[in-house]
Amino acid sequence: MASVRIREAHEGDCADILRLIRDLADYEKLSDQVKISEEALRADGFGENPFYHCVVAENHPAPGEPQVPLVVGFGLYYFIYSTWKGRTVYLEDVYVMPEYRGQGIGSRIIKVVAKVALDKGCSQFRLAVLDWNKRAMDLYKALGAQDLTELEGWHFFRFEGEAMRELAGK
Amino acid sequence: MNYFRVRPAVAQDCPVILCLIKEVAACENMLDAVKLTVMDLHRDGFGKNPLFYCLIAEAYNQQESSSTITVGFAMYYFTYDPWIGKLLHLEDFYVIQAYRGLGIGAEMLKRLSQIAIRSQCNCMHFLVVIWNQDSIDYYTRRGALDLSSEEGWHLFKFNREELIEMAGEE
Repeated sequence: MASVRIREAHEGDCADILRLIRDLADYEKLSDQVKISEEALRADGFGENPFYHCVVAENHPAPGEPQVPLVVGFGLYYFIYSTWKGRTVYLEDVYVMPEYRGQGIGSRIIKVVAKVALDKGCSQFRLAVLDWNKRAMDLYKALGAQDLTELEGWHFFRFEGEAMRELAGK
Repeated sequence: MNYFRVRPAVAQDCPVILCLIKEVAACENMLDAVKLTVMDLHRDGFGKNPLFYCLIAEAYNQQESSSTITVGFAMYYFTYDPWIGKLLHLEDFYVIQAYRGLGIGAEMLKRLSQIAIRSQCNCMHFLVVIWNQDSIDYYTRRGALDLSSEEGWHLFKFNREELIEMAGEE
């Protein structure tokens, strides 16, 4: 019987990670915003000072089946800092291919990242969800997460492009 | 006339940084929420792989121009968007009450934007509480976009108790 294993990503996974990043962007209806390349993912995640860390969910076919293992999901996270609580894990993306959903793979990825958070001395774990993604919101709430936007009014803000260049005095 | 300067923080600034962090928390009646110590700041900000960086704003003493007092700080770190790569996240940004309106905040934002551009970051992100109208106005006047309102992003958080529960199940 096929089984899914959650493991740390390695450099060779970047092509699959990019494939899944593009799938996730399609799912969020924001495909035209994916500008990253496989080379950038490799340099930024597997260099001397990585800007992110990744775990992948790999489907292993049953013995005797002809298929090779396939990366069917991923979780991309990094460490941030709270001025009140210190080290915190931020789960930037978690995604499972549609045909592999409903098996608890997403939850398993989140739990692996939770363990990393504890091992690294983090006292909390943050993530962002789009308000129309009810399935994701329900999953996180079921695992015990709190919606700080709803509870405390936190909003994400961004300076980009021209606004940022103007601030920089350029 | 007041003179001030903005400079990168050094390890010796940790006690004054913690002081300002506590001052911000006290303004929000959340002093008990600050669990960070000077040792945490030292280890996490000034070691081999810093989890955060700080800018310090200093005002020159009008009576004795060779001495300065710390009047503000900005804490930031680098995050990763799998669609566009590196971002700069502004975690905290504060100027003490008596020194506001002098352009210190604007100078810190300018330096942060320059750092972001120099570090090949596509944009600068930060979180604001939506009913903090003064802050909202300050940032939107300078071109910031509210991603939570515009795109529907919600910030979620797991606390330590939930992390322990989740990690125990994987």
